[in-house]
Amino acid sequence: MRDIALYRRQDGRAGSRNQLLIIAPEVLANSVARRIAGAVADAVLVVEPAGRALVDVDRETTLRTLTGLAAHPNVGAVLIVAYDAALAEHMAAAARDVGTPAAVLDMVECGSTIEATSAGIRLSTQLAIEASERIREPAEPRDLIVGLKCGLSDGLSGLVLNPVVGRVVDKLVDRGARCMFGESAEIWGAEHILARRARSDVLGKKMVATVRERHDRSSSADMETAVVGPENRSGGITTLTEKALGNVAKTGSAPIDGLLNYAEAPPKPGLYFMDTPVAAAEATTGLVAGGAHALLFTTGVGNPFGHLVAPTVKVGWSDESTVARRDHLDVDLGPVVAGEESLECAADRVLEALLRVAGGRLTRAEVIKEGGYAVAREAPSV
Amino acid sequence: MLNADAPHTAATPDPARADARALLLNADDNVATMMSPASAGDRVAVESEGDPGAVIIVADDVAVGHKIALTDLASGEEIRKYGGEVIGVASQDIRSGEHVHEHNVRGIEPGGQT
Repeated sequence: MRDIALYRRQDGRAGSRNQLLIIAPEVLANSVARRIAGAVADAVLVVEPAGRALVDVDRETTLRTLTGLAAHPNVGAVLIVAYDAALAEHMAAAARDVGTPAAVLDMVECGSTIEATSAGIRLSTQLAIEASERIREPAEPRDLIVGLKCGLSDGLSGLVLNPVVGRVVDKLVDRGARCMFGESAEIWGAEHILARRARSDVLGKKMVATVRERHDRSSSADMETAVVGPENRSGGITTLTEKALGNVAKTGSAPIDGLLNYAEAPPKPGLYFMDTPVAAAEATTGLVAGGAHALLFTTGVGNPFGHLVAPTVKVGWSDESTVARRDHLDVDLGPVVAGEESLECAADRVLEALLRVAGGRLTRAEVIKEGGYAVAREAPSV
Repeated sequence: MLNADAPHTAATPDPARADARALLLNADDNVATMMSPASAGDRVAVESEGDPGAVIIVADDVAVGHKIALTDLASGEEIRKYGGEVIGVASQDIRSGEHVHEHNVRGIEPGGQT
């Protein structure tokens, strides 16, 4: 494996980026956060479209997610813009605990959004300067925390793209990295394969129960329509079971070490299943808030998604009739589809791309400013 | 040899002379996935683990990533892919070489999905 250099944080974790993150954990602060982000160089903006009057699991999940992002190893400094100053201080404290400079912009104290905007630009300027002095240091494969996702899959996702990524995952786990996958409902039909790889019978049973619980939230017909979308079908995927079997191919063959709650961090090296929704923004936000500092994302049809806080390496395939798709792909496995490259050679190419991106090479999604984020919602609104 | 007795199998299976390629993941599967597009009547080489494999004549136009039947399948018969895993059942009789998709397959979701 090639040498990599990452940003080392105080808690021992390492980051692939060193961003100034501006978080508005509640919708009322979004406009101010947006104006501040527009005024300072290279700020990454995470705005929560709801964030107020959350109850039950949603309150915990949203707080854990936003706190996970504030203290994320890819974050070099963070500003939290909020009316709920106690909530913001909780998040800022988590960031400071890992040595990340953090500031809270208290909207109540500012009195108006115009006052808050200038105060926020002033705070962000100082934070950006502090973050800028962080440098990359030599790191090891065991420092890598990689999230896995597939989106806009087609009939070759499960046959070519995901098996290649699965081989990469095996190599990473072998070398002490942490890898995580989610998309619980999209495992339905392949859960028996994953359960066989669980470290214990108890874990295997918990994984199966988790997948079933997600699946049972809707009627089977509704679930099949929701999970196997029109672009999946036009790409050749016929049933939910078929999609699930292709989906799990990206998890490789390593034993599964644990089941994580949404946005929960993997406690030690290994491969983990995180209970997440299937859609790209919600699934990856859980993985990233759990500490993933890079994502391997396969796409048959050419999904444009990139996460705001973790570089998203897109692995797909193209041929002469699908040239435009290359705009979204960091690694094109067209040669495998054409029968000119083995899965093993392709896996080496994907691993190389991942390590280079972790070391600072930009993804296509980063360059063209794709950037998504969404916290999973579970409970009803009140 | 795959499907040697099926009526749509070429009399002289020569993968080098095929018009398109498909991939068979496992000998227990009864569908293969197109790796290049095929038009009705094309000869498709069905590769398996690097082995060029048999040649089958496709009955329909089939796009990349879509499946073809490697044998005749009766209505209600299981569709097997990914190492013999059941991905659905035939909702009508399917002939060897035909496109296998939503028009002739239904899911097998436990809970009564049909």
